This record gives sequence, structure tokens and C-alpha cells, in this order.
Amino acid sequence: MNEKLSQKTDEELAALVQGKNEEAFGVLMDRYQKKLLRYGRRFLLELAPIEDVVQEVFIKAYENIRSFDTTRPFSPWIYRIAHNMFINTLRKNSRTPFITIDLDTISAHAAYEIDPAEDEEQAHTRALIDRGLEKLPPIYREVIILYYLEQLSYQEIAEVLRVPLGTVGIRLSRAREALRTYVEGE
Amino acid sequence: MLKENDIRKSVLEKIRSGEVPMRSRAYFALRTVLVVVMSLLMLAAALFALSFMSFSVHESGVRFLLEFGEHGLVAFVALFPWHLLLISLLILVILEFLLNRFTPAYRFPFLRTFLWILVALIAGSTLVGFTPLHSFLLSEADRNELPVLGPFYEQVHDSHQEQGVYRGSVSSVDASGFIIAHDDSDKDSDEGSWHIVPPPGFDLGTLSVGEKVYVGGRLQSGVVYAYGVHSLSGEE
Repeated sequence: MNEKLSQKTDEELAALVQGKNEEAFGVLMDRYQKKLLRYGRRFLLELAPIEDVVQEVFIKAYENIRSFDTTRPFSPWIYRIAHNMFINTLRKNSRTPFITIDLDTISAHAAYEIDPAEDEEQAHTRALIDRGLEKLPPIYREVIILYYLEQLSYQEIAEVLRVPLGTVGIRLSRAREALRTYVEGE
Repeated sequence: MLKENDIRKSVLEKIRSGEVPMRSRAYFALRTVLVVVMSLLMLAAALFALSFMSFSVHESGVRFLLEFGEHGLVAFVALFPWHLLLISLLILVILEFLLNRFTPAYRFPFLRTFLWILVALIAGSTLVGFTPLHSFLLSEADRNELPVLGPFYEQVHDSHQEQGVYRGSVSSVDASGFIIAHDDSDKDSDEGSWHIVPPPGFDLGTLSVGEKVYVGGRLQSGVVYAYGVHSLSGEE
């Protein structure tokens, strides 16, 4: 049965979970556990035991699975739950307040994706991430993790963070700039 | 502390033991209905506040202060119902956050959706202005038959002597000026009659006894030296 389940898409599995199929939820957890642990570890750093937080993410996902529209992609939905949980953890454990009002969401920005010509730039940014990610403020750290490490598209990141598409672009651009500044200042 | 390999097992155990219940579709449907109802109520409240602000400025005569020069402008700023504007804007911001939280409105920049709702509100309140809603509520308030909102409507016809603004009916006209008496059917501090000396160039022949006027001026030794007079006949 598990073999059959493993061939299903995330959305098909979510539909089965909505009918209280726990095995299907197990397969979904298998698919997302590593990703969410990685996301949480890089985002929260050492602020909280990440296994406990990710467990809470899965519990929340199960509780609210019937709010998920199975015609839409599952990945941004579960990342959104993880994002909320991580932000709450940050707020509880961090000494510096996490700012949720982002001026970049107020006015319009052009939604530009990085084009293939910038591949070289991407490679350089990855090198910068390894050296400076931890120094970035959470708001920039998160967008870098979702784009470069979790490989989410701009559209998916916009859905996870619930911000306009253009804001994702501008945040990424500012995050790269901040990374460069931190690393070059070392 | 949980270990990485135990997450799946631990979550499934909690689900199987009934510790983690799955919320029903009805729960989410009800939540959506609540958000829609809340949003509509807030929209209606903002619409009411904004249209009442416009009605109040129009009906009270405050708008005529803009014709009275510099002194009039100062009195206009003092008497404009800013609280209604603030309430409308506050509701608008809350509505915006509500929409961003529960609908795909977050896909658009905050400023754009804010302006869309603001334009819709202004258009809506203009439409409300064409209906007899506020006039009807004002007449109910004048008859003391409007609970809760009554005091807000009653103050529309108040005089504001402290800001140098007088409202009333002309009771007599002579060569030096005219006398107005204020009576808005209640018994409060703005009742009384005043001798008005009109601004230079004002044609007293245009006034007739019984005519309602709106006057901006300075009270000195019992006489109001007006810097602006506007007839309310035909306005109400």
C-alpha cells in the first residue's frame, strides 16, 4: 500500500489525508521532514530544538488539512505553516523583535526573476550564503533560504510569505546586497 | 527533546490516539463566512462614517468657512469632523489587514489595495449621500427618536461660539447689522441670540427675517464682528 502511496503526488496524498488516511500523511511527512528541518535549522539557527518545532508544523498541517485546496500546489501550503511556526518561535526566543511590517509590501515593485545570464552571480551568492547567512536579519535570511536552499520559485515564496511577487524580488536583491556587505566587511 | 527519526512516529501516534483532531470542513467554511461578514460590517461602518462626515460638513455649514478667508480656514480646521475621517481610515486599515490575512489580496501591494478600497468607499459614500438616509436620521434625532446615534446627529446644527461660528435665524435687520437667534430644539450651551456686524461690502438688503444664516466672526462686547456670512436658505 505504501508503495502505491509513494507514487502519488503531494496533492493526491493531501486529498487522501482529508479522508483521514494516516498512512498518506506519513508519506507526506517523509517527503517534507528533511526539507522543513533544513529550512528551520538555517532560519532559526540554534534558537529552539528544531525537531520539536517541525513536529508542531506537521501537527498543525494535519489539523488544518481540510483547509487545503487540492487543486493548488501542496508545497507552498506546508511551507506557509512552517513559516508561521518559525516566526512564532523566533518571537518567543529571540532577544531582538521580529519586524512583521515590511515597507517593501506597501508599494509596487517590478517582479523580476533572476535570468540565466546571472548564473555566475548565483554561484557567487551561494558562496556568500555559506559565509554570511547567519549574520543576515531574519526577514532576509528566510528569503535566501527559500530561494537558494529550498529552490522555491518566486511565486511559491510569495505564497509562503504572503507578500506581492515584486516584494520577493526586492527582498532577495536586498538580501544579496546585505550578504555581500557582511562578507566583504569581515 | 525529540530526535529527528522520531518525528513521523510521534506525530502518527498523536493522531491515532485522538490527541490531534482534524478540523472539519464546516469549521473552515464558518471561518470564511465570519471573515466575509466581518469585512462587510467593517465596510458598512466605514461607509457610514465617511458619508456621515460628508453630510455633517455639508449640513452644518462648516464647508462655508472655506469661503471666509484665512480666519474661516482656521475655524474649518478646528470644526472639521476629523474623528470621523480617522475612524474611517482606521477601519480601512483593519479591513486591509483582514483581507491580506484571509484572502489573496496579499498578492497586490498594500498601497494599491488600500487605494482601491478607499476609492470604493468614496464612491459608495457619495452614493449614500444621494439617498435620504442621513437626513432621515437627523430628523429622527431632532425629534429625540434616535437612540445611540442621536447625539452625533444633534450636534450637526450646533453653533460653535468658542470657534467664532454662529448659526441661527435672522430675527431683525437694521442699518448696523442684524440679529440672529439660535434654537436647535435642544437646551444646551449654544442657545442664544447675537448682534452681527457684517463684513465690509456685505449687502444687508439680501437678508430677510426668518432666513437661516451661517456666520464666522469675533465676539467683542456682545457684538459679533463677522468676517463671513452665508445664507443657508435653499441649502437645507
